[in-house]
Amino acid sequence: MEFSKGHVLYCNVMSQVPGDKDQQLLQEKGGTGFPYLIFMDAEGNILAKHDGSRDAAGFSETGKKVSGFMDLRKKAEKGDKATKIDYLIAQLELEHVKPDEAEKRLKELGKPSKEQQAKLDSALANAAVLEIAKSVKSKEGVIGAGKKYLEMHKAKKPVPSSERAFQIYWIWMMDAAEGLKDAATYETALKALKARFGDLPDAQDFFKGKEETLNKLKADKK
Amino acid sequence: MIDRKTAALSAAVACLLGSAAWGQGLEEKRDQKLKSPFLSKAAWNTDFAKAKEESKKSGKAIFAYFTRSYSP
Repeated sequence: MEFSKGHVLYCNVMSQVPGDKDQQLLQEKGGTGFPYLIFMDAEGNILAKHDGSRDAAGFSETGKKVSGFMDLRKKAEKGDKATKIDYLIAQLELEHVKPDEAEKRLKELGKPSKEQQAKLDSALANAAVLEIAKSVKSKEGVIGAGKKYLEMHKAKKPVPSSERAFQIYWIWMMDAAEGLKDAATYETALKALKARFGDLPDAQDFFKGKEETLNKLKADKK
Repeated sequence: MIDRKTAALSAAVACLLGSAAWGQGLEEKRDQKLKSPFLSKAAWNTDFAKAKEESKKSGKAIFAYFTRSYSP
């Protein structure tokens, strides 16, 4: 398998067998459940958590981001300013830096190229959404986050592009809109989700339910 | 009638035997897990220090799969 050739594969089995090595490692590396899939460097620093599909294609996708990140890190450490911007983008994409820290560092790195600016805008949008989502611990938190996403949408901030951030942004915005009885926003969010995921067989029940909610919101408005 | 000392000693022996049996079961479960289809498809390191050493030599990132065997 190509993926296995490009990476060092390490399996940690929490066995509870006395004397087995590294039984504390899961906790050390921030794992709270199973399976827990992460990429690390040679020092054991976490480079990325894998939250995509659990198959070779999914692992390869995250693996490519990690390899790209490691290459950029090497070059950035040698002092190339243009690479430092690419490295900052990669750090944002892998959630190694927060959006406000990235914006501060960018001021010291000079003007990004057009292509870099487009990537930065996308990475910042994704990071902003995920940063808000990280602090959510309850249903009320979801609604609160959804309201923040609604404000970002009204302020015409860039829409996140990564699959995870995109889903969180629009779904939580829909949840907030439902509470506010805002049929128009609910419909906008639903359209955006359908445009990207509407063809997925597994998503049909989800969309059916959301359409019913939209129809109810519209009916209540009349 | 069993005295307190004998009862305590019996309980201690029962605990030891019980934990030995429990330990054997856990080892078997661990070994079974390591033979699972997902892990049989490639060569996995099970020693973290060795994995880090290999990563340093090769320049490749470590892909870590944390799982458990003591329960489903």
